[in-house]
Amino acid sequence: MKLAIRLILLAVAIGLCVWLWIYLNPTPQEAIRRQLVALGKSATLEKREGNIAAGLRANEFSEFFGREVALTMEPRAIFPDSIERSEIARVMLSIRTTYRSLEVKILDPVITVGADEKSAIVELTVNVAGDGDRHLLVQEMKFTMKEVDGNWQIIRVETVKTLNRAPSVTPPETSPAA
Amino acid sequence: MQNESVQQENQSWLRTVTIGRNPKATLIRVVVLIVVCTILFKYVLLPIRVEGPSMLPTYKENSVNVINRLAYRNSDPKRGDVVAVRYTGDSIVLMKRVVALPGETIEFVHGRVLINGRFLEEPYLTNPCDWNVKPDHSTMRDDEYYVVGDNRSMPYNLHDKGGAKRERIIGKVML
Repeated sequence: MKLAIRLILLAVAIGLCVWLWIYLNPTPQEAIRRQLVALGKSATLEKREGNIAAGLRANEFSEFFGREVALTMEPRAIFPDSIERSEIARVMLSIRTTYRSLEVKILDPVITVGADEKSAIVELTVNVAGDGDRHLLVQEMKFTMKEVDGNWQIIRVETVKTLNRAPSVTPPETSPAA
Repeated sequence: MQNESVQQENQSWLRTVTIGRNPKATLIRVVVLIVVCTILFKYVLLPIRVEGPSMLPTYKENSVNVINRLAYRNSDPKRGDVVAVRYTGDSIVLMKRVVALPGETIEFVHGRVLINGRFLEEPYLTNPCDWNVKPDHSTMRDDEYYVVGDNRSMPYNLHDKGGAKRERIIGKVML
């Protein structure tokens, strides 16, 4: 009986050591996954904030991005081709002072790490809940990420079309049904 | 004396209800149930809750439904099937009806669908609609199905619709 208890304790100790090792030395996939969870939390707004708190949180959010981020986002007329980190902080600040609450979740990330293990492409779904709507925005996106000083930063953001969309409404081209 | 007997009876009843007369058999049943549920809900069925008005009146908001993930294992989606289209994963899916198959050309005239220039019979359409559009990308590729909701009385630009790649269609709505 004593032997059994010792064996169980030994197994638990080994399991804890393995978990601790993995936690402290994450694979690139795991590190990116954690970064994305943190990104979602950073973008989430639980209650209306004061200007200073909103500024700090917006700045914290911008740290997830590289100095300059390439954008390929729809609609192209609204989004520029690139955006600087400081501009991201400004946009985030404006969002945080406009909305009362927003919950941002990054769902189902599909992570492909490059051969150099310093870059990665992440396909993911962003779900934004707010104003009483659980799916205020659902958008599939593609991030290109790069490891800089041990941190995975987003250097490119693209929107992905889940459905090959039809265009905006155009004038009727066909006569009505008989 | 009588009190003790009543207490013992109560305990025995409670034990029978919670862990059964044969705890070993109960444990085996619980393990089997967990394994079956895990396999069933991970690989066979996907429970969903309908949100949004795009499938009205066929599927009402907040109704619960189930996706059969095995429906298209050995066959392809058919016209009229209500399917689940995934984003990058299946945490959130789009619930839409297949109206055009690979290679077909689609167009909307007063909300009704024209496939290769012919009107499609759509008994599920009940509300009047003013969609008159020929999509830019109107001819489906070899691996593409045109999906759209049943509620075409809502504004065209607010309605998610378009060509879904075959690999994105994860199953058929069961109920």
